[in-house]
Amino acid sequence: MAQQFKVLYFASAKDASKTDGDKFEWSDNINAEALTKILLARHPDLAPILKVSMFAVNMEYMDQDLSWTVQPGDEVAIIPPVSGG
Amino acid sequence: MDIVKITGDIISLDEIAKSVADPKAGAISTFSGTTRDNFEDKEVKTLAYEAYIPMAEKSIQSLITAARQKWDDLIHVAIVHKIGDCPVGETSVVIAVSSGHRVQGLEAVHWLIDELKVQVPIWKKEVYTNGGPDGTDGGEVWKANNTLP
Repeated sequence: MAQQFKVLYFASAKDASKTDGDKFEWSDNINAEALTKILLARHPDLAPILKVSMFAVNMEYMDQDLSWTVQPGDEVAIIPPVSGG
Repeated sequence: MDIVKITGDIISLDEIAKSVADPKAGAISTFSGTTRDNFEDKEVKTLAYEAYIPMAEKSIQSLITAARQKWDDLIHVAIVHKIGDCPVGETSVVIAVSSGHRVQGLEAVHWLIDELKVQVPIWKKEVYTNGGPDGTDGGEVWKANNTLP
């Protein structure tokens, strides 16, 4: 059975993608750049939002770690600029 | 004791302040965020809050842990954030800190709200009363605080 990972959308990202989240089939070597391409292929309207958003992976902000790749079962969240409080 | 809560219910400053009371406290310091009726020259009807709840709870807890490292006189800390609609005049967030003496409590409250606004994955949408800025449909805009570097 194909392994998967989950992507959650919040705030402006949710409005642009018109969904709370997606499941994607996992493959090796999906780094931040590759993930961005995958997301834009499914939701082109995410483009301006991804430019200003961060990724969180399993509830930790993902710094610009060039060596990071998605693991099977990961929960990735698109975090647009926050505005709590 | 650390209290971290994200709730759709109306939040009460009084109840939250009581929740951090302690016989060893000489001070309870609090902050309440309330919905303002204006932004630039637009009239705001309500704010609508959304959260990545499990990560927001985790993030708020780690802010409290960091605050306890910086200020060792803190006794109890409560941070409660509302999600859903928050009309003008209503409270969206309360931070309450009890401490032996007032100085650290006041400093910790200030620091906690400043950090919450930068780090915690919660978002607010401003809903305007007449039309929207720049012709936005539905008259609403997702806000952004200053972001992480």
